[in-house]
Amino acid sequence: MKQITALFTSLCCFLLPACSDQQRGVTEVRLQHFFGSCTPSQSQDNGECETILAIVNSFNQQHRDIQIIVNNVQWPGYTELAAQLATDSAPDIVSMHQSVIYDYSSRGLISPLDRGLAAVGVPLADFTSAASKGVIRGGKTFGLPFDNWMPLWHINTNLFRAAGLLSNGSPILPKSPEQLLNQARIFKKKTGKPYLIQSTVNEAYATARTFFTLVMQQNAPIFLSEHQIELRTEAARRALRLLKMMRAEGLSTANADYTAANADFVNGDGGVYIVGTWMIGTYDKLSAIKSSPLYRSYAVRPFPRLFEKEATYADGHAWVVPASRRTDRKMRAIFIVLRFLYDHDRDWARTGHVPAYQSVINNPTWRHTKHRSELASLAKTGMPLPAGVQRQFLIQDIVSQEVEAAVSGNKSIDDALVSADRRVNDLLFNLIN
Amino acid sequence: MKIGKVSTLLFLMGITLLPITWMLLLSFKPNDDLMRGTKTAFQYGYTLRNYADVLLMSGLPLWIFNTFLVSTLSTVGVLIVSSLAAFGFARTRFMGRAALFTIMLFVLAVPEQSLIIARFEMFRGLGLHNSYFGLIVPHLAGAFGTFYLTQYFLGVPREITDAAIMDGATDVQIFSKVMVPLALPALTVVGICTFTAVWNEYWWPLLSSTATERLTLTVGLAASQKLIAQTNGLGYLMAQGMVACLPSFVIYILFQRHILSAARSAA
Repeated sequence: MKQITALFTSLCCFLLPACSDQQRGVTEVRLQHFFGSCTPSQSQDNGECETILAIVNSFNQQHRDIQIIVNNVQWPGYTELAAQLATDSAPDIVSMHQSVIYDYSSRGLISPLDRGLAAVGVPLADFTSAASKGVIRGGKTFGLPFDNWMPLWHINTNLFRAAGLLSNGSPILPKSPEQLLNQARIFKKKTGKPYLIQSTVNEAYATARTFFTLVMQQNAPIFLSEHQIELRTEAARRALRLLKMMRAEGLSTANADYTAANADFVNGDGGVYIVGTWMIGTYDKLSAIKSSPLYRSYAVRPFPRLFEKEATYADGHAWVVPASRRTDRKMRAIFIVLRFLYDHDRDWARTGHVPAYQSVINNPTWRHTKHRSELASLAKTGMPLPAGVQRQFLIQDIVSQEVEAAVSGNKSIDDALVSADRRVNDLLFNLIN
Repeated sequence: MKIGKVSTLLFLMGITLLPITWMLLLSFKPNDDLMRGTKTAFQYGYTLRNYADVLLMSGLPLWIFNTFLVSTLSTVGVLIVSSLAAFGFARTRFMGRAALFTIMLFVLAVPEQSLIIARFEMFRGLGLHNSYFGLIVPHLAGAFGTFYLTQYFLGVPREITDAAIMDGATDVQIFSKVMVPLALPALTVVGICTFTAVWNEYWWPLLSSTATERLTLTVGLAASQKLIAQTNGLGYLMAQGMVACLPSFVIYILFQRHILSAARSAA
C-alpha cells in the first residue's frame, strides 16, 4: 500500500503543473496537423515538424489576443478527424491533403473559405496552378493551400559522374523511355549498382505516383469521369512495360520498403531515388557531412519528361476549416491565423515542398535557396488527379498493389491493369450507390 | 540436466528481451546514423538527444497524467465491479445465474472491433467523448475479471464461508472480510492485467479522446512522430517507446511477487 501511495503522490506532484489554467480574454484557435511534434530546441531544423512549430510560436508571440493551440495527430489523421466530425468536436483549422478535400467538401464537412480569405487579403489569384487545382472544388475554395509536393528524382551525383552521366556538374537525365533504359544499363555496367531506387514493399502510394506520372506524361486520361477510372489503355501498358523492364534487368531495386529504399540512397547504393519533396532538406544536410556517402554528391530534379508532355503527379497540403457553428470573433481569429500561414509560406518552403503561391516562387530568396530554382517549374507541371475523385489514398493503394504485381511478374501487365481498373471502379461505384 | 534447464531459460529470456534491448539500443542513436540502416546501432556514436527531446515535449506530462488517471481509475473500477459480480456468481443462488454466466462468457469471445461503432455512437449520444469518464467506462464492462475471479472464488472452500455465516456474518461482510482478502493474489492479477491493458490501449482513445487536453500517452506519442517515423525521428520513436513502457515495467517490478504467486495459484 505504501508503495502505491508513494508512486501516486510522486507522479501527481510531478504532473499537476502540466494542467495549467486556460488563458483568459484570448481567442483560442485549435489547429490540428499531422506533421509531428517536436521541441523548441529542434526548431532550427528544416523538417516539417520544426518549421510548423516555429511558425506557430511566431504567431503566438506576435498576437496577444489570439493563441494557436496545436493538436497533433498521427499522419494522416483522418480517423481522428472523422471521429471529431461525428462528435462535433473538430478543431478550427485542420491540415489536409489536397487530394482528400473532395471527400469532405462533397458532404459539407468543411467550409468554403473564399469570403473569409478575401476579407483578410489573401489573393486567390496568387495560388499556383497546381495549388488552385488542389483546393478549388465546384468553383469554391475549400482550403488554403500550403504547398505542393511531387515525386522527384533525388540523384547521387558521384555515381552519375562514375557512369559518365554528368555534364558540367549537372546530371544528364533521360528524355525518352529508350534513353532511360540505355542510361540505366550504362550506369549499372559502370557502377555495378541499380540506376533506380524504389520503395515497393508495404508501399501504398509511391508506386502509384510514379505510374500516374508516366501515364500523365503520355497525355492519356486516367479517369473518364469522377466515378470511373480507365487503366486499360496503351499508355498504361507502356508505363508498366518500362517499369517491368527496369526491374527485370536489375536496373531498379526490388524488395525495399520506404525506410530500406531511403537507406539504399543514403548509403550510395543507387543512382536515383524517386521520393517526394519532403526529403530535400534531409539529403541536403547529409550532403554536407563528410562521413556521409552523399557528401557533396546530391542533386534533385523534377521527374524528367520521358514522353510527350511535361507532367508530374502532384498533391499538396492545405488548411481547411471544418464546418461548425462558431462566433464571429472566432471566425475572424481563424482567418487571421490563415492569413499568417499564407504570409509564412516562404518559411514553410524550407521543408522542400513547392510553395503554393506564385509570389513566393517568384521571390528571389526562394529561388536562390539551394535546389529550388530547378523545382520552380513544378508549380505549373504538377498534375493532381481530377478534383472530384474521392478516396484517392485508397485508389493509390489499389493501383500500387496491381502495378507491383505486374512489375514483379506475379501478374501479366494486362491482368494487373484489368484488375486495378475493376477494383477502383468497384470502389467508386459503391461510393455513389 | 541443470545446465540444460538454465540454458533453455537463458535462451527464452534472450528471445523475450531481444526486442526491448534492440529498442533501447536504437533509442541512443542519432537519426543520421539510423537512416543509413540499423547496422549502425553497433557503431560508436550514441546520444541522449532522443530522450531529451521526448522529455522536453510539452504534451508529455499531460499525456502521462491522463493515462495514469484513466488506468488507475479503470483498474479500481474493474476490481470493484468484477469482484462483486464474481462473488454473486460464485456464492449466491439466483434465477438465471447459469444463463447470465454463459452470456458473460460469450462476451469474452466478442472482439472489441465489432462493438466499436455501436459504442462510439452510444457515447456520442451520451456526450461522453473527450472525457475521462468516456475512457474509463468501457473497461468496467470487461468480462475477463469477472470470469477469472469467479473461478478463484469457486476454489475457496465453502467451509470457510459457512463458518462466517455461522458467526453471523452478512453477505457484505463475507465478501469484504473473507473473500476479498483470500482473493488478493487473483485481484492483483486482474488489476495488473487491467492496468497494463488500459495503459497500452490505442484504438478507443484514438476515437474517443481527440482533444489535446485529453490525449493519452499512446495516442500522443503516435501523433508526435515525424514523417511517419520512417526516415526522420527513428531514434526519437524508440525513445518514445521506452518512455511509454517504463511505467508498466516499474509496476511489474513492484508487484512481481504478487503476480507470480497469483499465476502459481491459478495454475
